[in-house]
Amino acid sequence: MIRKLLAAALLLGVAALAIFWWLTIPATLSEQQRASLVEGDAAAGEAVFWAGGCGSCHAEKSAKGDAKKLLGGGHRLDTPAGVFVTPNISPDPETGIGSWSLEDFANAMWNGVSPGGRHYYPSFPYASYIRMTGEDLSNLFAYLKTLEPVSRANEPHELPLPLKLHRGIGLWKLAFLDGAPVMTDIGEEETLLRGRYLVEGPGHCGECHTPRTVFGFGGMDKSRWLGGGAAPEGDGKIPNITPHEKGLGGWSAGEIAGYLESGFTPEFDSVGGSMVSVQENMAKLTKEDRAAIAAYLKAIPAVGD
Amino acid sequence: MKKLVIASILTATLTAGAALAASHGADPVATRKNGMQGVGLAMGTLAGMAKGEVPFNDKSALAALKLMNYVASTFDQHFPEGSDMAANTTASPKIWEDMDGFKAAVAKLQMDTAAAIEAAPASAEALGPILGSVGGNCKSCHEAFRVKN
Ligand code: HEC
Ligand code: HEC
Ligand code: HEC
Repeated sequence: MIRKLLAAALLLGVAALAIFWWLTIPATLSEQQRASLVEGDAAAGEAVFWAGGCGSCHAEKSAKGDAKKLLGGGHRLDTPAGVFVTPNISPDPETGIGSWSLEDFANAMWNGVSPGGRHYYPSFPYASYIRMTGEDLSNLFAYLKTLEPVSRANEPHELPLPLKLHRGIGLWKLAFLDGAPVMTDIGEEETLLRGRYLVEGPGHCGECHTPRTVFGFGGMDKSRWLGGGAAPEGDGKIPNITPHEKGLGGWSAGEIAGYLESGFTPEFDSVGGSMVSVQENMAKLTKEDRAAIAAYLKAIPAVGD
Repeated sequence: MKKLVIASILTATLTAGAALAASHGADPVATRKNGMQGVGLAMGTLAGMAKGEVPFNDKSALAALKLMNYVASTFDQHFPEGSDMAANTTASPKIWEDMDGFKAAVAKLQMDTAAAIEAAPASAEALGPILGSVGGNCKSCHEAFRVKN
């Protein structure tokens, strides 16, 4: 009897493992994804670069101006899960991504999978980048190739053992990786749709401004979208940027766009913390794009306490 | 009407400055916050003039710069050990981890405002570069030493 039970348990265990294995196989590009890639236009890719904020994580900490285009990585992201050391994404063929194909790049940005078939950690905000268009990704990739190569070998992340099991990230993705828009019913107005794309896609605003489910380790909590929460890095809290009185309720769209351009709030408080790097990226966008972001932030549901 | 606007801005600015002076030596968190509010008002006054939203007035501009310089001259004295724990502060614990770096940032604000006072801007156009040099301090210090709660 006991033997039979043991055998059954063993079988179940093997089946569970097999299912886990099967469920967490890293994805490759889907037909649809592949078909949306185009011949990249490097000049058009620069705006995508600033919207996506790559330099805020892959350049040196607090890098300013042109130094933000030196993407040698090595920037340490100190999170509650451990320390992530960002990789080199400069066009250096040995230590960077100079030898990658556009397909490799797109699979990393959309599906969070490396050319070798490893799941990336979601500290790389692909859960937002998954919403980027094939055209933007192609242009971005062409632009990255024009930047100065930096020779710097990647360093391992400093993580506790359970988090080193990459297949586990496959489960996280099954539960939380979703390329559909978050705000499904904000209408058809072009400005709002552009704002939604920039905020939910390349701008990855939700990665900081939306609280996470499952004790902070899950996905972005869409029921409290942009409602603020604990900082993903370091001390303090991230403010609510929905139109609630505790968020941006008192700000006009013009004031929000002005903040993204100049870094000053309507009360002439100045931007601080990790938002400084984001704001300086936003300052490089067109006026129309900043206005679109502001319009979206005024149009989404207010999130209170 | 224009005169009234200028006067009210000037009054607001100087009131904030006076509030700062009055609270000296009392609660350090309140003192430093009042000081920064004065700095914010002064910055708003100057930016408004530079953008032409309020008419340029050389006396108000100078008063605004002097207020910022005054706040900077004592700002770092209001950060006693442990006052990062106050419920209403947005001062980052990094200030106490790197007091020298913080003091250097305060000194830079003082230096840049002193240079601007020296330059005595006489037109809205002359405020542009000053806003750049003085205003850059806000962001770089807040990036390193401030955190929202
Ligand atoms: C919030 C910080 C952050 C931002 C912003 C960010 N990345 Fe990353 N990125 C990471 C981290 C962390 C990793 C490493 C993930 C891992 O090793 O699992 C990574 C990995 C990558 C990789 C894989 C590199 C390799 O060697 O395997 C690529 C490619 C990449 N990022 C491109 C980009 C691009 C392009 C942008 C801008 C659109 C960007 N990243 C923005 C944090 C970031
Ligand atoms: C890396 C994390 C991070 C990302 C990504 C991010 N923010 Fe922020 N944001 C912050 C922090 C931290 C603050 C608080 C800034 C401060 O201390 O002054 C902030 C503040 C703001 C504020 C001012 C709110 C207030 O009450 O003062 C606005 C508006 C804002 N962010 C908009 C955005 C938008 C739009 C995006 C996407 C394009 C974005 N943020 C992406 C971290 C982030
Ligand atoms: C040397 C560092 C430093 C510089 C430079 C600086 N600040 Fe601050 N600022 C701080 C700190 C620290 C706080 C948080 C104080 C607290 O909450 O205890 C703060 C808070 C503020 C506040 C909020 C005050 C409140 O009531 O909570 C405003 C407004 C402000 N700063 C505006 C500015 C402006 C505008 C500039 C540029 C002209 C500037 N600051 C330059 C360090 C600085």
